[in-house]
Amino acid sequence: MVHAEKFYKAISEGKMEEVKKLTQEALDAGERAESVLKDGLLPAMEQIGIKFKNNEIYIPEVLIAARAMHAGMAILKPILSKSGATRSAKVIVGTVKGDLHDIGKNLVVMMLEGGGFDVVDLGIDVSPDKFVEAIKKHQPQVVGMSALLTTTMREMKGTIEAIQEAGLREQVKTIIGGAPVTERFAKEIGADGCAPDAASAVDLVKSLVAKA
Amino acid sequence: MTHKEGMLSAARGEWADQLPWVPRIDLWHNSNYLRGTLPSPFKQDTTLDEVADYIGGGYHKIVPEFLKVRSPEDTIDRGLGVYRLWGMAYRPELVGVEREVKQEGDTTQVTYHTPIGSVSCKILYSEGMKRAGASITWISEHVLKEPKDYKVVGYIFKNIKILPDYQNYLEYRGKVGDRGYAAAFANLASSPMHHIMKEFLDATQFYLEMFDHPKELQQLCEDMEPYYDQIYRVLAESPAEVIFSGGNYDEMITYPPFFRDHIMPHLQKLADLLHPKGKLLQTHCDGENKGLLDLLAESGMDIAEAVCPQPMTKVTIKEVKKAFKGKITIFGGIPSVTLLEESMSDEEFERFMKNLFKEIAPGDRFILGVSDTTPPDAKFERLLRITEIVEEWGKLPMKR
Repeated sequence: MVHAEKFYKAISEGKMEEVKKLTQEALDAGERAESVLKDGLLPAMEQIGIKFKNNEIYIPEVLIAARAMHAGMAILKPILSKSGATRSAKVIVGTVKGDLHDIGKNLVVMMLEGGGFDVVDLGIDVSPDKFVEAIKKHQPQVVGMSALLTTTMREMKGTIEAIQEAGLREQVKTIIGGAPVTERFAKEIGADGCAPDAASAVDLVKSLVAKA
Repeated sequence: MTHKEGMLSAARGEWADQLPWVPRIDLWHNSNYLRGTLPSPFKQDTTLDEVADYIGGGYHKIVPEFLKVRSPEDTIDRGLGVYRLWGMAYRPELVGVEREVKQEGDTTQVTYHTPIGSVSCKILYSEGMKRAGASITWISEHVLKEPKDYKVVGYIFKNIKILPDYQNYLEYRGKVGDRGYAAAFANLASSPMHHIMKEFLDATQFYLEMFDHPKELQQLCEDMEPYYDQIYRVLAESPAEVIFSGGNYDEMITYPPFFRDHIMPHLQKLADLLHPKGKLLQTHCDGENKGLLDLLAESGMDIAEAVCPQPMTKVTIKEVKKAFKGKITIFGGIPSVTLLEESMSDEEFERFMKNLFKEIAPGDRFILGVSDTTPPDAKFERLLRITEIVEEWGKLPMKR
């Protein structure tokens, strides 16, 4: 049996060793890796996401929780890969070319992982070519782009154009986020959605994946 | 009234004759100057102040000109968040520290050797950053990498001497003249903990360090306290009317308990030193401030610069005004995206401005500005249009 409450307590307190122990114990007791993920790690992170959205906790608590969840994931990942079990959908995320800011993007990555998505973090200063390469390699359902600056938000348009030129536009949904980005700008550049904050990004991805 | 008189009146909560309009255009100018894209009628060597004169507002001399140093060596400690700039009212000097500097392309590596150990950092200033108008170097490798680095950085800061450099500031103020007030720069961060967050660690790592090494963080803050105290005292005695200290607050990054515990006490401390001398405290509030408004109101600041409302943030100017209860002057109000054609059509821009003027009427405690800065690809005509609007509707007190 997966003890959801124990997982939540350990994850919310950022206790990596405890999460590892609980994960291993559940596996040793005969639980499937998929169950440990879906009944232990993910519900805990979902709770964290809800509390963050409601301003009950703040960014440090989310980060330590995500780190603790990763500790458990490190045990599960090789087993999940072998069994061929897949997570709900794949998302690639990066801060666009010329922009070196990563905190907003990192938070989105963590919230998406906590939401059960398989996330590929491309990092910062990601060129349109790198986004295209990553789409070819990872075959995601959603591509997320982040920019903090009015000078770099234009790279989002260039990236969407590069995806289009590569003939990949129909197979992915594109979403954007960051301080200067608005719904109108998203429409203007042909993005499929715009998230005002990290918690909303998870809802947006869920709705786009559900529609696909 | 001159621009300076108008701005200072608004900053003190008195009536100016007309709504002060003070666009920040330094990054716009840097970028378009370097790209050779300054719009007509400007020549490609037109200066920042000449453009400001053409627009017709006041001079935005708040954020220092980070590219303007008196010698190249003056940029060397930016990885520590320590600045030496033309126009500053103080000059920091590192004591008991030897620097070793290596240049690798666009990156400068600085190693600091102290009697208790060494630390290093890398700062980057690339061609791409220059073309984008950036004036601040990027810290590509932070100075805190391991727990043992905390003490070394603490040693460096405990031993920094802050020397008054009022002549440098007066030269700057003299150049600004009556076109605006020249704010004296304190720091980019508002407190030691905020300084560590902004300059010494990657943002994500900083929050993890709060859990992993809280004692080391606290000790470093204590070690940095004399550095901040010296700056505060020198600025309180300076000839400046307005002191600019820190900013980039954001309800997610500098979340309410963090702002309350680690930023607000230092703003209050500085305000308490400045107010008896008749000086004003200004700080750069360019982020998402909805969750911080009540704390900002109690922080002791006199001017909240770069206040950015919807559509770039969740907050309206009406909400900011209400929260500030007439105690703080708002400087800003025009989100930078309103100047971009892909973010707002001309009609939407006109509607936005009309609505903004309704919200800020009667116009007390308000300096109209771009939050936080005019983007390099802004539609320049919109800046001129704002000048027309201010002339048309901006006589104070404005009708509701």
